[in-house]
Amino acid sequence: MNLFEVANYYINRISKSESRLKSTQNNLTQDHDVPKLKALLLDKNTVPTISVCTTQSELLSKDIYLIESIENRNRNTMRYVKCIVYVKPTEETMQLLIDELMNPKYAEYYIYFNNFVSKSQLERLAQADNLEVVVKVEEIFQDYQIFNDDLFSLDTPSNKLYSNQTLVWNEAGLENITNSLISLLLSLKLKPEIVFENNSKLAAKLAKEVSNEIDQNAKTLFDFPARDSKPLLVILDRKNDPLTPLLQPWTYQSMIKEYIGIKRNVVDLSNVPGIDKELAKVTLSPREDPFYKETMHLNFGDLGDKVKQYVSVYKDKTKSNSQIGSLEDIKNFIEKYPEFKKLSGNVAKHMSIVGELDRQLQTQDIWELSELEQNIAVHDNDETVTRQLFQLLLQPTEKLNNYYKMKLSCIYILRSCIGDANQQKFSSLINNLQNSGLSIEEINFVHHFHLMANDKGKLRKSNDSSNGNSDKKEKEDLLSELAKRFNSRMGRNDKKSGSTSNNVYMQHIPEISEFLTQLSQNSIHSSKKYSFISSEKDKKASNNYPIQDVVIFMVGGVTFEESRLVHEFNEAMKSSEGNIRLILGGTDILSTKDYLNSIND
Amino acid sequence: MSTTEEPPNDPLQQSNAYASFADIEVICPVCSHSFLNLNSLNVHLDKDHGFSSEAIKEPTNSNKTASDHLLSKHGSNIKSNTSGILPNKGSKSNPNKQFITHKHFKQPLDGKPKCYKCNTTITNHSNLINCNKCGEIFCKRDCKNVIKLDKNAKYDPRSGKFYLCCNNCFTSKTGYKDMGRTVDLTGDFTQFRNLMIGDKMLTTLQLENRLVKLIDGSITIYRKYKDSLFFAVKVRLEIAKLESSVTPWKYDYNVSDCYICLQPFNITNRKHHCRLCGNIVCEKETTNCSNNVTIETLMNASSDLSYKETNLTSEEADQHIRVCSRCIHSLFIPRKFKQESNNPPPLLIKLLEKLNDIASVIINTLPIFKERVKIIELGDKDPSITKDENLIKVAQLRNKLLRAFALYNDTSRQINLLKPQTLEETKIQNSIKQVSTKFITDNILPLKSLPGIFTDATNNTNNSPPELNSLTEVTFNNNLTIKEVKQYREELMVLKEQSFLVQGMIDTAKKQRQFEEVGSLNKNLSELKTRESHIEKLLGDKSFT
Repeated sequence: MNLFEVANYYINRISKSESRLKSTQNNLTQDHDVPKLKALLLDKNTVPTISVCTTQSELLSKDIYLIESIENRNRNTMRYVKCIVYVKPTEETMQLLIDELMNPKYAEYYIYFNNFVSKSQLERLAQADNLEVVVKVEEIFQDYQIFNDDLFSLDTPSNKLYSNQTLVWNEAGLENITNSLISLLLSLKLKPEIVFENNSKLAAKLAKEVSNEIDQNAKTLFDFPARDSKPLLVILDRKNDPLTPLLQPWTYQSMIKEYIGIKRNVVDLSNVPGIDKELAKVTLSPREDPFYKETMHLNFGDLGDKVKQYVSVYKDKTKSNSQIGSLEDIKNFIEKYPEFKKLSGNVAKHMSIVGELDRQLQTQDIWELSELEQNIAVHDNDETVTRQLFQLLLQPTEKLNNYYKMKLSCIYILRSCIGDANQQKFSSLINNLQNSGLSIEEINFVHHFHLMANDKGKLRKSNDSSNGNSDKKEKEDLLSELAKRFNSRMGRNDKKSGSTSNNVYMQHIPEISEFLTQLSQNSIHSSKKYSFISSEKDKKASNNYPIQDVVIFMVGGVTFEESRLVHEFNEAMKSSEGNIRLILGGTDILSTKDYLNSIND
Repeated sequence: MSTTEEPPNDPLQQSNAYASFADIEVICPVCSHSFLNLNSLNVHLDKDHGFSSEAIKEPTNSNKTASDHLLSKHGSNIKSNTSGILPNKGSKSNPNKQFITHKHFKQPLDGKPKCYKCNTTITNHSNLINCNKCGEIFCKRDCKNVIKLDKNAKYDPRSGKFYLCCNNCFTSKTGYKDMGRTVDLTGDFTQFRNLMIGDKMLTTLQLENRLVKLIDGSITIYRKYKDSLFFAVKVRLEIAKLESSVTPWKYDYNVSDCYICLQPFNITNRKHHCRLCGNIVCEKETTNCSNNVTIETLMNASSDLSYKETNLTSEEADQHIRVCSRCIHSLFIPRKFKQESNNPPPLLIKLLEKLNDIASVIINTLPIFKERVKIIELGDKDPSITKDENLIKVAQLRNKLLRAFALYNDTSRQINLLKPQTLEETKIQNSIKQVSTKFITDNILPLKSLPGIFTDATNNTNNSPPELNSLTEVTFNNNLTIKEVKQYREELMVLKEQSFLVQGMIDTAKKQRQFEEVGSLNKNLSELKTRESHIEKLLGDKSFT
């Protein structure tokens, strides 16, 4: 259950494509050896997959000397090159592929699809292959983007998924998401039982769709050997935890996404003032960079310590290098030089990223903002917090961006303005907003958000009461307990906060932690919050099996904050030889801006 | 259980907390309810999860379960120190019993049971447990996963029952580490392709026949009326007759759109018949649905067809035949493909093949070389082994390798000097550059770090480091490769910097009147300078200074 391992397996499989045997070669290519040289032909969907999962030098070591995009029609003929095609079987790509086969530019074609193809698609393709250049056609299943070992995303912003104001799926969106999820399950060889959150229509619909698809292909694709405990696919809805994506994030990976932006593992630092030209675009991949892998889930305080250590290690190395006395030392230096250079590059990279993060935090006054956000999120109806909020809202725009004011209001609404009883609080918030320099559109958005939150809130309340006390108790659970302890540790390290016991910037605990606790206690079968879809045959069997492999999928996108929790859960399980393995994914990975935009759409 | 209290500074605190959580008591692996000891857990498993429902129905055995048996038996075994057969017969004689077999359970050998995993001696017998699958002895901490087993302790995911097992058995069960579903569609694909290829070959054959007939016919007609007065009229009539006899034309009355691009015909977009397939197409320049192609071009592109006349005058060859893009495609693309496949590969590819050949030679020779060097190193310690023979072999191998490297370098340089014809070739060139640089840096190191003994034998009395010396000797004959030049330059740079620093130190020492230091520094400096000049000499005009 490690997504990068799956990716490696697939990439090796692709790049090892062997030439057909000489005896079966047709007359056209018999005359001389088929060359070793390989080209990799990708489409716009697989380019990101490949670029995250491998590097150019890795591909080079597998004789892939040329990487091309199938959308580029101006490719020259290269009759001495074998071509590995790796594409997603969309209509558009299929047409391009058909055109390519009608007029082939390379000697041989090895075609890999990252999801299943229909019979008619295959037929059309075969029809186009007049010259019999296709040697191999294979489906592998990787129709998703990998971020971490245990985090994937389907990279579909919500405006492509829903119709009628994010209440129902649009057909194409649902089909895409279903297919991608199916490909994920196939790549992990899971035939899961499907669980979804009761109160979400989106989750229910998706669950049904995925389940149908699995049943249809039960004999052909999902014919895995039976397991003693069924894997689970859990479909959650972002709307049940709108608070988490609204709060400013504090882990390394999430802060990079929030403040600088990361795309296909590339961080663009070119806008940073005074940046070295060599550092304008840096790659950041947990696969390639052990320091990043180690620190990506750390909060900013711990990260600072780690970077400091890293720099001092580097300094030690420079010192030993500067003591070149004899010829032997010189020789050693020259031999170690490439390694040293790599280290120094990495140090410089992380230094400039962390520096930029720090600068952003200072200039945008995030420290104060985040503290208030967390306080609103955690403390109900606290007078001083409310006063602080209104003070901040009235600050001039130059000091506090309108966007943050909007976000603060949304958080406040979620915590304090839900239900008719709290109508007055909402109107006082709006009063304050009108004096805060927000535009009419922005205030409208706050109104809109309030309406949405209110609808959702009513639903939730009824749900909560039906669940009775059992769920409430779980709040006092192992995981949040752990999280609290963890946070308190952070608080100490976080010098800036100056607080003694709690880390004020990470008080809020995402809802998913409650779910994780239920998982570890194996009590989700009895929880009324979730429904199960399982085939008739399975129903007979007791559903009291220990939970083992779980894929959690969040409709509406996940945050890196949640991925941190899942990662910590996995690590804990690993070190205690526990038996639960988790993979987390979502329709998208959200920054706070992404999330507000998705509501705005 | 003092381990549960982690020092607060432990970075693993978070994760260990889970472990400690599991350590404090026995946790039910199914529902995570905690129990004071294993017995009560077993009772709970049987009762609440129906792991061995038969046991409860068994009145003679009261509430004792399979594991209860096991534990008590272990206890007695350990006390009496008689390892071996488990007195399991009582339960076996009862046919109703469905308990898992305990035959494979390991017994503690010397009365001191050790955990198979963490190897700690288990003092408390209630802490001892056998993995139900592999039978090894574990302490409770290391045996808390569950697995479905049948009564022969074989993994049975369908009808088995859950038993405790060790982590190893848990992770090695079928499907646990499985991943990466793939579906090979090549069979289906070729089947589809073969179904259609017969039809297509027939059509192509028909088109080819028509093409031959048309071209032969029009040449004959041309020759017949060449000298006639009514040349133009006659030829047009005859050719029309020929065309309609060769290809049945489609009726164009009720056709309103082009057969290929599907655009409607009108005054400016006229209908045309393809003379080969008879379909009605347009002749827009943008879509290229049909073209008037000269006989010459057609014949050149299909020289393998059996035309009656091959030597044509330019007038004869200049006649046109209208052909649609589809017919052109199905007639000429395969020919073009075949022709291009038979072309010899470009120089770039040839050089690349050469490069790969050399690389494989180097990769094959290197391990032999390393082996030999190792032998010499051993021989150094043990003088009884004659080293001369080996030394000569090593020297030969070394020379061979160095020549190979030089050749490799040469070839890659040649590739870099090629002028790329296309964008693709530029890309390939860059890739080769990367690969070759990496190859050299990865593989040349063992050549540089040779044991000192080697140079003793080659009778070098030079002051400079021996291994570098022999390296330079060989490469000097072969001229310096770019790589080596680079290396020397780097070294030179470091040397210069060093001597500059030393010079500075000398100056300061002089100022501070510490003359004994100046002496040693001066010695250092002169050493650096000799090496510097040596390298400069080696580099010759390639030096950057």
